[in-house]
Amino acid sequence: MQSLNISTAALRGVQQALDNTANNLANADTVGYKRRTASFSELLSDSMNEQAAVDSRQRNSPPGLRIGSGSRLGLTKTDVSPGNMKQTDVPTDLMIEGDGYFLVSRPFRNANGELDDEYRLTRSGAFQFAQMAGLPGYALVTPTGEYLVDEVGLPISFENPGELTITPEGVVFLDGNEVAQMRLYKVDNPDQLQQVGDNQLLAPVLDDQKAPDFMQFADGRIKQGALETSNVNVQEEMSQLINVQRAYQLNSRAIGITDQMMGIANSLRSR
Amino acid sequence: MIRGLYTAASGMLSLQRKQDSLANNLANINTPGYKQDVGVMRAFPEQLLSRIRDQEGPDIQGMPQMGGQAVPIGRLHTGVYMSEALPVFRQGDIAETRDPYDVALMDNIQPDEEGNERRLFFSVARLADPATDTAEPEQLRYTRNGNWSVNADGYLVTPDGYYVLNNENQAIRVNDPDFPDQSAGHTLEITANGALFYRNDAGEQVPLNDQSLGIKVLTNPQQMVREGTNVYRYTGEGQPANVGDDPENTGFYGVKQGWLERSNVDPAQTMTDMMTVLRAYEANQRIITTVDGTMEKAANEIGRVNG
Repeated sequence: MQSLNISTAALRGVQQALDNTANNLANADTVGYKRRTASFSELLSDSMNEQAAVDSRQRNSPPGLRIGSGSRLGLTKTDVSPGNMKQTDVPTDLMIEGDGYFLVSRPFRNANGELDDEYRLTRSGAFQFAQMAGLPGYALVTPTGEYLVDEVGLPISFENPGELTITPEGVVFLDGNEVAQMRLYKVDNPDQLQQVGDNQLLAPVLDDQKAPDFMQFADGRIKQGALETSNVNVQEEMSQLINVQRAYQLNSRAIGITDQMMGIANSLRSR
Repeated sequence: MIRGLYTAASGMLSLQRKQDSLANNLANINTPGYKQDVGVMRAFPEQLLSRIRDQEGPDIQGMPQMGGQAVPIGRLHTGVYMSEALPVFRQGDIAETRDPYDVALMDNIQPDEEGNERRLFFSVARLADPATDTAEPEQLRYTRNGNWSVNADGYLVTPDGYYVLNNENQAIRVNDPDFPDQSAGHTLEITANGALFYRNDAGEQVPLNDQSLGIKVLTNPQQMVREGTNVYRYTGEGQPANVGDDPENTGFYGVKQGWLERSNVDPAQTMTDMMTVLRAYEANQRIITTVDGTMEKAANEIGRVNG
């Protein structure tokens, strides 16, 4: 019976929506996390043509009988609305007010064994002073070890940690001396960028040009001493959870009823 | 007697179809813009039964006796089948998502002079080259699902990859990777009548290529073929017109950005229907076993020697 497949397909989609909700709730306290919303889409319809000739009269729809084959998880979209501000007064904590992403670089060895940089975008501004691997001096690094870069794409480095000041426009001062100019970058469609985990997106590459060479600057401003909390709304996620659970229950009930029907068909010969 | 066996079997078969249709409604209980299907059951063509080899009809007062003619017994349908699944185009609830690419369509267009139902739909199409192509009438598909996203080339698309069309049947480009300063991105704004705008760097509202969403008026929406993946194909006469072409429609429809139209499936109704289907299925099975019992008597007990 087709209805078994229909309900099973729906259960699978609902399960994935539940996974998405669980991930949002798990990251409710992650700095700079953007929630994702899951939505469903219909599967293809089966069309059957087995009707009597007289059926072509006195009917409301075009000939044939069309029954769909269930649903699937259609899209998970990133909700880019801003999170709340959390004041920390730590000078290396940065927050983006408005539009834009921080650009960080991650050194790695490419296929030829040469040291190369991979650029990533993030909204999470929890940086720290740390010594650069294999290089003298200190840099601002993310909790997972990527370097915050300046406008040409090089890590912002200091001989020694000191009193850090960053203006809203991104001019970096250390102990009152201008060190570097950092920028926020504009992303029109974050859904199209690869998510590489750690709350980061892989920066795009255009015709062998790296991200700092071609990406547009965003008009957001930098606020020092604060962090952006996630934009997960717990009440909203809980109501989504209820929605998902009920959908799961209804579809498993449908499977139960189909199963009973198959049992009835099976007991045709055994009185 | 054997006729009854096949009648009951056709009942079971059509109820299975109905269960498929109900299961599909339940499966799409969270699909935006999904329209509930209602199964239409129809009896097999009517037959007239006559008595054979008995020209003497029943002796009823006032009824003439026609010698040499077959005597009618009565009319009979020998089964049932599911003839069509009709979508119910009732408006679904709308829910807020705050996503700029989610659009809910609300309509209150009155029936036309002949009393035909009229409903509004977004037009979508699969295009080979979205930059230059204009969708041909046979490529057009219609949907109520306004849960869209922007693809890698910057076009507005449905979850199943159809391009969302504007009032000129062309794809809508939201972002242009080659001219990032002219990209709308998340600043896309859709007005209540479907016109498209975005905010430029100075924060001013600017029209996006002077286009609006291709919202079409479908007269007699039941004449559409459900293709799945949230889209319908129009098979009626003529081509649906843009809703904005008729000034009388103004004020009877609205587009709400950041909201989604939810599925109009009623779970309580669907579960009740499923239980009804289950019991009817059981009753038909009981008929088959009963007829089978009668046939067993005929085959094994009548004419048994030394019974």
